[in-house]
Amino acid sequence: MSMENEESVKKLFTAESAKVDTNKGDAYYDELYISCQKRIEDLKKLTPLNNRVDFTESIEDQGLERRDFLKWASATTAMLMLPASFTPLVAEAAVLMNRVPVIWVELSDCAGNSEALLRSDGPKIDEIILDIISLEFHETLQAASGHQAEKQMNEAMEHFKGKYLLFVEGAVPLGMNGGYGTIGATGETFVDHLHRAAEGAAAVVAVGSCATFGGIPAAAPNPTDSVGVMDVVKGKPIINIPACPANPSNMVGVILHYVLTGSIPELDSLLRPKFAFGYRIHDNCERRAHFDAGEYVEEWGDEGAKNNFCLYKVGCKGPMTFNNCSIIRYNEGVNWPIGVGRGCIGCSEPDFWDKYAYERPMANANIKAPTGGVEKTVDEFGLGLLTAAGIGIGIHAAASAVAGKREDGGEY
Amino acid sequence: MSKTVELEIPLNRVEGDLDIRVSIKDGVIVDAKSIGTLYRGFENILRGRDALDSLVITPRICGICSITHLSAAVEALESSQNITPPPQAVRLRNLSLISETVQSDIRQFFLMYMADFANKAYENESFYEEAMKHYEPFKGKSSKRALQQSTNILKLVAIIGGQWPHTSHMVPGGISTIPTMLELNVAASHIDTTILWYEEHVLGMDIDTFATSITSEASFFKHIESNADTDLARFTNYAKKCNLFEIGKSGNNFLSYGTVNDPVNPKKRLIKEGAIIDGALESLSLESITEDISHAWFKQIQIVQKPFEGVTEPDMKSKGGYTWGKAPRYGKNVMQTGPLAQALVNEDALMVSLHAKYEDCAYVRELARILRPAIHLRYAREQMREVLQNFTDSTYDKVAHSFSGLGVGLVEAARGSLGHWVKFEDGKISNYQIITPTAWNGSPKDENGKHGAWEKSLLGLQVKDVDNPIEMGHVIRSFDPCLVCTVHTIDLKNTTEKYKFRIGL
Repeated sequence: MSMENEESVKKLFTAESAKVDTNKGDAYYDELYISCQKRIEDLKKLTPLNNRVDFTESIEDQGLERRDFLKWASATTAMLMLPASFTPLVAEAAVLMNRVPVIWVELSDCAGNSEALLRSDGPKIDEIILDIISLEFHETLQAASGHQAEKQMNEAMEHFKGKYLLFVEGAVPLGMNGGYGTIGATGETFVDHLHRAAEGAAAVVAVGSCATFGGIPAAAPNPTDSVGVMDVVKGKPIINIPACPANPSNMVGVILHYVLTGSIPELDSLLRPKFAFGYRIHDNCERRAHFDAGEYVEEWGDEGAKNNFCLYKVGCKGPMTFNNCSIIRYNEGVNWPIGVGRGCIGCSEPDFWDKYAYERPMANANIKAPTGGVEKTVDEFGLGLLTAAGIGIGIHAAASAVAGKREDGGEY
Repeated sequence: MSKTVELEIPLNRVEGDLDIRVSIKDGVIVDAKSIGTLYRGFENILRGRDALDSLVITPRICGICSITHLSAAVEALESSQNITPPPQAVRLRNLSLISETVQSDIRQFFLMYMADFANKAYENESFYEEAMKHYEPFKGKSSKRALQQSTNILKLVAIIGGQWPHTSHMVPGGISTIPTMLELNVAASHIDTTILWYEEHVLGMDIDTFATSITSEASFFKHIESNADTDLARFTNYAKKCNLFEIGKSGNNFLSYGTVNDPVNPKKRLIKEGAIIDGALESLSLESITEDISHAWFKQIQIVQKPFEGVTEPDMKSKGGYTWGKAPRYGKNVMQTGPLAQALVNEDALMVSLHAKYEDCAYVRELARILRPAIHLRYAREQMREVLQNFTDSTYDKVAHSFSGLGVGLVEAARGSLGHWVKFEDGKISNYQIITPTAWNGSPKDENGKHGAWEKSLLGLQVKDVDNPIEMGHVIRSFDPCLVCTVHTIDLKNTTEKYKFRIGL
């Protein structure tokens, strides 16, 4: 790997991304609390958008009790890195989610993020929220079929101009004048479609690795000249929620943050919300202790695998990847890839398909780790991490602080 | 008003976005075109990569059938080196594939198919109120229950495979997962929960009795009559009223690669593979499979391609092209694939009996889908029982990672037959060609002018209201088309009139 590439990789994996400031001081939170309160009062004055289920009704309908809801609210408060005192506000914001319009468009995608959102998270609170949330136009989820589809979107964009959150799933193919992807009867290209939809958005949320960094369509040789949303949309706040698929909890988290505060969450250098991407997979991994002890899986099915040892030597990219899946996992927290003995493939990082595809252990890939030092062997890399443990310890501390807040909330 | 059909619109190669455009004359469909509108170039992205990269890249082709692609990719790798995974790995692979199929069948039936009966077009029908109560999108009580169950069964995948969608636990030589007894017991309980729901609400009978006692068209309708408060009975009732026994026929050719691998001899399928040509069942011949690009937007270097030699070079100016989809053919025959094909090829007595009487009408095709869990869930229970019995057996046999030569992976996805054809050279992928179920069913015309299965099923269909062509929805959805498909109709009397219609989920 040339020096230039190494530098660019280093830039992508800046340690700055890991700096999570979980305690900004009482003055900051007091002020935020008051502004959130005001925002919620303002939202209450608005009428719910059409056809949305009443949230409390919906909870009872699913046989969920208020206690479960508050439990969820307190966990979500912690996930958003807010003090436990914000829990009642988060709960109120959830009820008011049907006051904020969300328009969702699909470009060059596999629908995996919609599926993750609709299907993987069970019919519990997260899913109820998605039922009531104002997905004004979603090609997959919209209930109304018929030739209203395009009209509905145009009307929604006009009616909620400047107020809606635009969620984008899928990459933007620029090749052949955008001809590789079109939408609707007019044959509008994805890139034109995106520009038009972004124009009146309050903010644009790119969901999944394709929408954020171009993802798999942009993998070499990038046959369709695909890019992520941030390379196309300019002059709008952009929030990236990468991963393949993006975690539904993080999608809900971004919306909730917007409802609660009226602003977008704090972002890292790659425009990812810090509440979700401020954590390195490796630092919260259930197998981390084995890494520290030098206990590795050498190949699938070996003694190490049977004992759930660290997967670094079989190519796990956890040390280079920032995401909260080692904390919140997938499918309602049932499991995650590491849990079944497959290393992380780094799916929330840019260009991971070309830099990482899972079978190449990092030591062989000769990639510079975020903590510095070209690692030649696993042992050296491990040593590097242990000596430069500041970040690791910092994150453990952050995680404990979050856990502490949950406990303080009294609902967990 | 939008432009008309002459407009050149780009389409899709694998998965996703499809349009169907029809021309209507005097209320009858006279021409139909199935159009893929998105090209992502997966096959070109795979070329030159490490052999094992296919395990993480191909599941991303489709966020709905990711385990199916993973299965096809791992079988292609294994077949190239004659690797046989250990029985315990085969069982656990079977279980994750069954879960994905069952959840897909459930969601398609309730959220897409039954939702159509709650369409405003039927508001004056006697069944409308009941249909709204049970199947109104997101609100109907049966649909909500079904959504819960499809999520429940997916937890089995999460336990065995780590996450869904885009799972990655299968590796050449087995699976990376070594589940604990506790995890397996939890997984087994997920299967039982879904079986209980399916028996009580969908079938009105336990799945074992159903398999042994309901084996003919006559016994089936008798069973329906005495179990009116089931989804099966409601579906049958609505289907009769909406003429679904008559419409949607697409011919007598069926293809199935077979599914549920025999744990001790994984090349053998417990639900067997084969092809039906003009009603006659024959054994599967891979040699017969070709792809025709005469009406696709690819360079017309060789019109009919063998999958191993397939080339995918986009060219939107290609003469006659109207889609990014190639047209797979089986010895020049147009095939349909999916649950009905799977059941007929496997000589399932009930479906054979129903098909003999009503052919491949929209009702029979959709019925095969919602009856499939009755078969698959029995296999799931049996596979899980064997997994628990052989708890200490290895889930992975060590294999050398030196891939070369040809590999084929053939799998039944929820929507039908999926194949990966791969050439490996020195541990790298030198060519990768994928033929999806939607490529079969939704194929464009071939060089002989033969329409694909969807196209053919629409020809001659009467459309009462061009502004709400619900009949087309019933027909096309009975194929369970891939996500985000749209139908455009053109009324030849008012050539400017155009209609866009959502089909997929």
